[in-house]
Amino acid sequence: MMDWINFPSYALAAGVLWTIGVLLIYLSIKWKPLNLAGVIFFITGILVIAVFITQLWMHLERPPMRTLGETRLWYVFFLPFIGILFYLRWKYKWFLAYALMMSWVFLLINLSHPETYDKTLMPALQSPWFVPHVVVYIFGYAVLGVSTLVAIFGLYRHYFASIDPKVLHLADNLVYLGFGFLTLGLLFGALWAKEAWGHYWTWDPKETWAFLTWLGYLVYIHLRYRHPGKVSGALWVLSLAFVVLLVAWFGVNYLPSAQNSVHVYGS
Amino acid sequence: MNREKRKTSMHEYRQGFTISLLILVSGVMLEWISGGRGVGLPAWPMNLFIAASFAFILYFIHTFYKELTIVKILSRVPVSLSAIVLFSLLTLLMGLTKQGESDNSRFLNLTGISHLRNSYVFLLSGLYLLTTLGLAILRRIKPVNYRNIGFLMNHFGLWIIVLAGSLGSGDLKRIRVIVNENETVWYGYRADGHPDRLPFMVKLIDFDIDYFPPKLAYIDSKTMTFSKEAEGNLPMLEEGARLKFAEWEVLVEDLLIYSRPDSFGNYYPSDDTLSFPSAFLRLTNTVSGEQKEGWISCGSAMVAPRFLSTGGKYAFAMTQPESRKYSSLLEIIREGSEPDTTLLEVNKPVKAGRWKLYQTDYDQRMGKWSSYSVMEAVNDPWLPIVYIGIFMVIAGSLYLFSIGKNPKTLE
Repeated sequence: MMDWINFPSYALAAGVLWTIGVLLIYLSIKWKPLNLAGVIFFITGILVIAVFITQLWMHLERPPMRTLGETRLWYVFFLPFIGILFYLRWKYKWFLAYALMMSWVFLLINLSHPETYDKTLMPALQSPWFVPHVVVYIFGYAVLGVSTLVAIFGLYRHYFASIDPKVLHLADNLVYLGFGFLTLGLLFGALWAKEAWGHYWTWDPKETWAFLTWLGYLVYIHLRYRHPGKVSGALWVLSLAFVVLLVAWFGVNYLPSAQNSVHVYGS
Repeated sequence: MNREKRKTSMHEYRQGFTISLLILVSGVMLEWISGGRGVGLPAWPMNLFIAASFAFILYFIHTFYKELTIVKILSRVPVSLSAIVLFSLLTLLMGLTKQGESDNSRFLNLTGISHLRNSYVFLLSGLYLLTTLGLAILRRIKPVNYRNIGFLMNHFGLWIIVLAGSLGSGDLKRIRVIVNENETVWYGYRADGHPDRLPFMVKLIDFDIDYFPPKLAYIDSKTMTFSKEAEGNLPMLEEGARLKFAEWEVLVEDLLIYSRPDSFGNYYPSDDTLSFPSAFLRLTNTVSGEQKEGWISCGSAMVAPRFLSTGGKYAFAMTQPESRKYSSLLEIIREGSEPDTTLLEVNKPVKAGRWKLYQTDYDQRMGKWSSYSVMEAVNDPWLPIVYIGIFMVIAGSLYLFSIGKNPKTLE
């Protein structure tokens, strides 16, 4: 039997593996061979979480994507995953450090709020659209989370030092990727809604906020397209868009306008 | 040169945001004058006429007045941004306030804030967005190359979705249909409560629910609220399961999903109408070694629930089971075709000609023994057009993955 009761050991194992991995990768500046060892440690950490998610999925007999804690678990999986991909492709060490930090934060939140291993899944969520809709969204959120960090770093450089154009291009690339996923999530949601509730768009509060998030990143993309030389405005928009994203992700649960939303996560 | 460009751009922003402000003010004024009733969107064929005229006007302006400064400005990013920002602000307002409530204040009604999606200001803002978007699209149709195709997938797709989605809502029919078992209906009710005829008949042959097993709760027997240990963490009852709450170890010795009590207070399996779940528990106190046993049940609409007291402040109880799946076996009868027997489930709508039927509800009080099923019949003739737009934007988002600069070349 596998459930959240075993979560602490998995979480600890993954967290420690990631931490050692990142340390080794940073130490490889001094001695090259450590790099490979670091990557192996890091990937093993991801596999540990993947094994946990798989077992949880099998135990629950439903996709583990219903509660906020479960979506945090996916975030803990995707961030290091994107992190190592970006590191292998473009050698961003800081990205790994960021993924490590955020993963620890989410692991600790989940550890301090032990959740129910509730198998129930309301009929409206039992659909082939459930998994793609949620996975695409969490992946998009993870990438856009990184773009926010880049934005804050860029703003810091802009006001207190000089900014390297590479920072902005990195932000752009992350936003294109994240925005693409956000768009897919929104549209998959619309196609699913048609099957489940009879209409593709009903201005449900979650939909409204997801759409607002989409509009926020839309503004960033257009600002950057029109004014490639301007920095601060675009970066402020990028930072604020993430605040809207956070409201859409879990703030909606607390809004008075969302009392009847179908999207409020069970807890 | 650069300074001049910046100046023009500032100028365009000023113009764009002036238009946005004018739309905001005139939209609210129109709403106020109309008494805060909002706008009803036109139905067929008026909506098609409006959509076609709007597209034609944009095309006409683009073809003959492309070089006019105002037309140029309208198709550029600063004006688009002013339109997006206005639309975002209204959406934000929609996300923060309760929409469509009847108890909203007079002020919220007269300004349109209480019913934004049907308000003049939202309509005008959408029209502004479609105008600048439409003109920008027309400028990028030629030359046909990879970049422009990607651009068109995203922009034209969005234009189609917004236009067809909003004008199409005038033709959208959603009718709530309630059918009793073994009865046939040919009408339902619109959202405003008015009855409406259906172009087909529905007979409910059988309604059925499949439940998840109920959960075990540990409650304060005075206040009837969940104890701290149990809150948000209720385990599902399974025969043979050993569970733990505070100092009590619980063995679920027997679980009956459909049962009735006898006169001695024991439960026996039953397929009766109005049977309900029960479970036999054995409790062991891990501190004192004390043992207890007895039945718990969540009861039903007619029968009170049963608790198993621990002797102290707390008692064990059973929650109402949650539905895993519910479905209606229907016969759909249409003129000119054979009656069609089909199973309707949540997430699996069935077709009835151009209409689709959705399973939405049942008699919650009676659960499995509900004698009626609630469905929704939907007809949305504009849906295929909206889907074309949706699939264009999906293709466009794949295009987004392919753009972006390679950071390596920048180093």
